[in-house]
Amino acid sequence: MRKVSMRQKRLISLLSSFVICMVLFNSKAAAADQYVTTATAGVQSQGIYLTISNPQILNPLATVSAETQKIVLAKFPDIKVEDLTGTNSAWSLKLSATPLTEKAPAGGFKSGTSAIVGNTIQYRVTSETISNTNITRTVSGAVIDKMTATIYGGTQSGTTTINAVNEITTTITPNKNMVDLINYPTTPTPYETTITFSVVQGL
Amino acid sequence: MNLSKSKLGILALTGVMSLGLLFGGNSAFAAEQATTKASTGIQSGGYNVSLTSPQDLNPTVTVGTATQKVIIGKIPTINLEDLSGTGSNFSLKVSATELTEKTPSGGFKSGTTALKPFNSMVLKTNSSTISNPNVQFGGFTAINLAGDTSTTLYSGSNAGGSTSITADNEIYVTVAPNKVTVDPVNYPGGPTPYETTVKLSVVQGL
Repeated sequence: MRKVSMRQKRLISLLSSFVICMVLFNSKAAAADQYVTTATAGVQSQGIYLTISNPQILNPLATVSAETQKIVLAKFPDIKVEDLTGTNSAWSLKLSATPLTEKAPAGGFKSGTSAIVGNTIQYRVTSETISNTNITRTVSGAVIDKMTATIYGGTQSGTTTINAVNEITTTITPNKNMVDLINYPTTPTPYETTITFSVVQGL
Repeated sequence: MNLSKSKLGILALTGVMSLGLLFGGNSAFAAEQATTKASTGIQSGGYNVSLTSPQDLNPTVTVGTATQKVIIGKIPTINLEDLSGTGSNFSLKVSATELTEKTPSGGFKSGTTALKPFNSMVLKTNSSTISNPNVQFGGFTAINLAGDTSTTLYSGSNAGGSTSITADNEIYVTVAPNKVTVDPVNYPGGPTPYETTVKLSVVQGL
């Protein structure tokens, strides 16, 4: 056997120590080998969209008669709700109107007179086709100038279309004074209401 | 997978932030609205008056020694509609043409004209039943309709719709022997016919 000098022994010892250390280090790194990272995304709601298509604003001319008359002011056959909240929450479609009120004549109401506020505004639906079964009719009729009516509701993400046979009406009775001959002496007395549909989260 | 406490903390924070974004997004769109205006014009239906079963009695009178009261007609039911839509006051007025000899076929013979011998033709109202408390009797129990007069028979305000007036009334003239009421020239073979037109109308105001 070849005799190893003292210098060689020290060198071998040093190398061995280094190798062991390398092995130990390598072993330790391999035993806990993980690659951890975090991927994130921010998702935000697009909200709820409401579209009323083909509204029929009828602007009828009514003549006072001995009978109580139902006057159809408007119809809203095509309603579309797009729930893009991404929450799958319930939503409600609500309807309200301002009281039927005499329009101010050009130049304003004559001294001592003011706008006549007419009879109530009513909503009625007789039938409809709803594009999905999760949305249902809430009421078939309601007075909508004194309170807001919830007319449809349910939980449905995405698009819901409602094709309805409905009408917004008022009634004219002969004992309700709605003709203003002072401010409109030669023409029919004009009235106006503002109808508001709104879709909100919750039922 | 083992995660350090610091990584868990970061994830939890990320979750809260996402939730916050979602709520913020929803509230901004939660009241999506569609608004439109609808209008109507309302015009007056005016006033209407009609008579149900007016009685044209068409009596034949023979001149006698005494003055005779001759009832020529009755208007037992007056139908009134206030469709003005204004609530205004109104008056139901009555008038009549003078009771006048009717023109014979072929016209009056030369030198003659229609007789108008009745200087009094009275609408006498004994009683009225009115279906609407907003309509009142005018208070004239005897109205002389001779000539083209116009007197308020009933009045009202804000009557609205239909009012039915059922009245015990009569229209009469007096035939006196000293009045020339018979015209044998134009009607040699029969009674002399007379005619009047009674008119009821509604006007605004009292």
